[in-house]
Amino acid sequence: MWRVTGKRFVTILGSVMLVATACGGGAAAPSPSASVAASPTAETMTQPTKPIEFVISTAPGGGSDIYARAMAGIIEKNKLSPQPVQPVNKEGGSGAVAFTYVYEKKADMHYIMITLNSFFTTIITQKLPYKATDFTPIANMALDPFFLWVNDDSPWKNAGDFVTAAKAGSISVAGTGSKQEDEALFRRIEDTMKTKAFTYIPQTSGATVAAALAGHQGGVNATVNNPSEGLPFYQGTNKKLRPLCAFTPESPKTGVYTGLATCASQGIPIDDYYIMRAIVAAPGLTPAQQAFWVDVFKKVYDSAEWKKFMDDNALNPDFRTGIDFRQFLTRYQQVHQDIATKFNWVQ
Amino acid sequence: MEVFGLLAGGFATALQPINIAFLFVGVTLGLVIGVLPGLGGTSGVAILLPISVVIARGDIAGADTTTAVILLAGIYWGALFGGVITSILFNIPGEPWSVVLLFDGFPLAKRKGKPGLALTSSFLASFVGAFIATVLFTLFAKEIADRALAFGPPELFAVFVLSFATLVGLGAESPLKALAMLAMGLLLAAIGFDTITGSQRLIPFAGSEFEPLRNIQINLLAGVGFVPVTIGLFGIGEILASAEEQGIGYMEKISAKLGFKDLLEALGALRKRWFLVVSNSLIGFLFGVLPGHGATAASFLGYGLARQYAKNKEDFGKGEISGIMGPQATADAAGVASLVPMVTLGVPGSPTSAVIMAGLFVWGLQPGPLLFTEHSTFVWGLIASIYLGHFLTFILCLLAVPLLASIMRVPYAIITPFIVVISIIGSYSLNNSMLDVAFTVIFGLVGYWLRKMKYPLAPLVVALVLGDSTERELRKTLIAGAGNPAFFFSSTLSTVVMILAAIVLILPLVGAVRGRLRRAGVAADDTD
Repeated sequence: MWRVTGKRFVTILGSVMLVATACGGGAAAPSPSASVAASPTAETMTQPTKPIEFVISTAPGGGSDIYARAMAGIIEKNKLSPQPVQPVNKEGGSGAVAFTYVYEKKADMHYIMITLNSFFTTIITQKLPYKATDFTPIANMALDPFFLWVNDDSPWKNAGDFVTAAKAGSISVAGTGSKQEDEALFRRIEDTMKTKAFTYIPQTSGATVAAALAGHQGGVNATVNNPSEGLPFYQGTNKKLRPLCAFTPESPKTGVYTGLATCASQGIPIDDYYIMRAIVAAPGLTPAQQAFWVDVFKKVYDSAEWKKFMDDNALNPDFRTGIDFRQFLTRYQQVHQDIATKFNWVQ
Repeated sequence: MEVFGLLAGGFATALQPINIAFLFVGVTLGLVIGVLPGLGGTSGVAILLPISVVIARGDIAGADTTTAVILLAGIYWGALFGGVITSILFNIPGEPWSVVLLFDGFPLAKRKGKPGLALTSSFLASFVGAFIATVLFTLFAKEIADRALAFGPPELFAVFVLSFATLVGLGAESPLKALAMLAMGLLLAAIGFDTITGSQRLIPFAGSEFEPLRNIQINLLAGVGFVPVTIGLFGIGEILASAEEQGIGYMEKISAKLGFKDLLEALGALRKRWFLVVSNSLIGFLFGVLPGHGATAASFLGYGLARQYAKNKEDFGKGEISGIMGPQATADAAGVASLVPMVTLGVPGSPTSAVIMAGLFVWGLQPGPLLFTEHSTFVWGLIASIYLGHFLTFILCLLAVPLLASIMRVPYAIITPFIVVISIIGSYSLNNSMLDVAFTVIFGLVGYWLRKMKYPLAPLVVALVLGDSTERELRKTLIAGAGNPAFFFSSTLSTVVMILAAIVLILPLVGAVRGRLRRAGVAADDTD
């Protein structure tokens, strides 16, 4: 009896491991270029020689996770990498687990990571022993704008109404984690417009932020959700939310949000704040290794699939690499450093 | 009615050979993933996402996005059923939502020697729970999801308080020991990164220069996972304790009858508990619809309610069938319901449905209300596949019961090393982290010691699983209400649930006091 059951279980265990490897590793067909150099050292290697870990700092299903998986799918479908690119979730500590994991893979080109603004806020507020600019920059793939959202039946018709109300009394607002991008933007509004301090109620993800507003959960009356997060509550017959304005220099020109006023035109002069959807690699890659990844992500950016994905999710197309991307990182690091200092986020 | 026409269309889609084939693949994989500890439904679905992209793209003739979602959802259904198998047979949770099955499932299988009955009861309750939830999904998805949006921090906190209230006194020969375990669980739950303040809590080695210590610190940011802890407490702890009690050569006295008799007995048990199973399924459905709270928390509430309804509270924790059927019906109903907000609102109801939703995005679909109008075939095909998937899983599970139950007759000395190995592999595979393995080993020893000292394990597990969410909702309520306690009663819903919780807490006290008075009265009569 034991033999039968034992073998059965070993078989199950084995088959699952097989499936796991087949699904993760076997997805991309081996390409002839995989066997370029026999055994290159870390410095001379210009192409990955084993599967690549595409590290994601959120849980499966979170914002960055969806973007990373979409990109990995495009890389796989168009055979842009000689080795499979495998999404790996390292959630925890608002990104600290993932950042540290990749940081410690110094000079290894098999580790790339998708980042958003927590790449700055988390490193600053948790006093991690490195900076965002220490990683090897690859490319920015899109900018995700912020809109100011209220309930569809809200008395506020424009950003001016909202600011007037915010000066009269503290408005309850919802956003993703504490001391992250949503709170950073609300604190900037508070600081710029001299409103009363917002009552900021942190949620677990962007989707639940929109849901919290739609249900007035705990008295929430406004959010700064991204266009894609608000979309399910804006479209269709059962409309629950509406955007008042966009924190962008220009109004959206295509899609369902066409013609939405900019916040700057309605009196809130903030038009330079986005969520970046950017790719970085482990620190200390050689220029050739960096160029390999820049080339891969340039091809992803140029693909029809990525164009459609950006369109579907109302992302601003924005490809940056090289010195341009490095300057962008430096500027955003400063923006977040200033907010963290001003609002005493670092203890 | 319009809805039946649409559902019929959905069945026509789901019954296409290619869709049935992938449904079968999905639920089978889900069952295997469910059985293996550590590798959960959430990561199982994530592993298959790349394959689903290929399917959704139409590379396979006849397959489309509906096929892809049927495959992924099928994994979820399989895992919802399969997770309990490891809990019942080996005392280690196969899935987060089968942790609560450790309380009564393993005792019924091992101490009472009825593994077949334990498994069959659990599968039966899963099936009924899922069926009721799917019917509600079919008929009222949009209406219920809209209502669920109003469920904010005060309401959620009230529900968690109710969960705790129903579980007070669990396994408590000594109330003080139960309280100590509850406190330990809450303390463990507090470790990690606190999202409300954005700071680290109870984490040692911050800023250490020594790399291994720094790695521990970084990995602790994700908190102490309750799955590695319960694998240790129950799986390893039980092995150590029973090895000492009975010696290694010990063999279980497992009843020889297998097969149909178990099914008949389980059906009889279900008939006696129909009210419990139906009401728990309804509650599971309502709980599952709430964004962000899936089957795991629901299963604990389901267990607590089962215990509340029961007259024989002292039998819980010793192999009571209500302690299997109650949580299992709730968990499966909540699992099905967690797809409701995904389809209707574009908000995932549970971690696993969050991954399925990521799939929708990657395939080029926009989850949310427009799915019903613009992708009607997709939605109704998915709904029909939930009926079919659960039916298929149920049959597969019933067929496997005799074989699974016979594992319990294997000599203990042979099966023990095997359980230890899958415990260790299981906790490693959670996050590919050695820290989780360390937790399993440490809590294995702790579990052994706690058993010797007669401390109840259940309160610790309850506090560890529910502690984080309860605290988060409490603090969100306090922030939203600017510290005013009246905010806990700001809606009718939260007030009603809070009062229910208070009643559940106070009733046993009243009963105890009355019992004591009566006994005092009897004693007084005696002296006459």
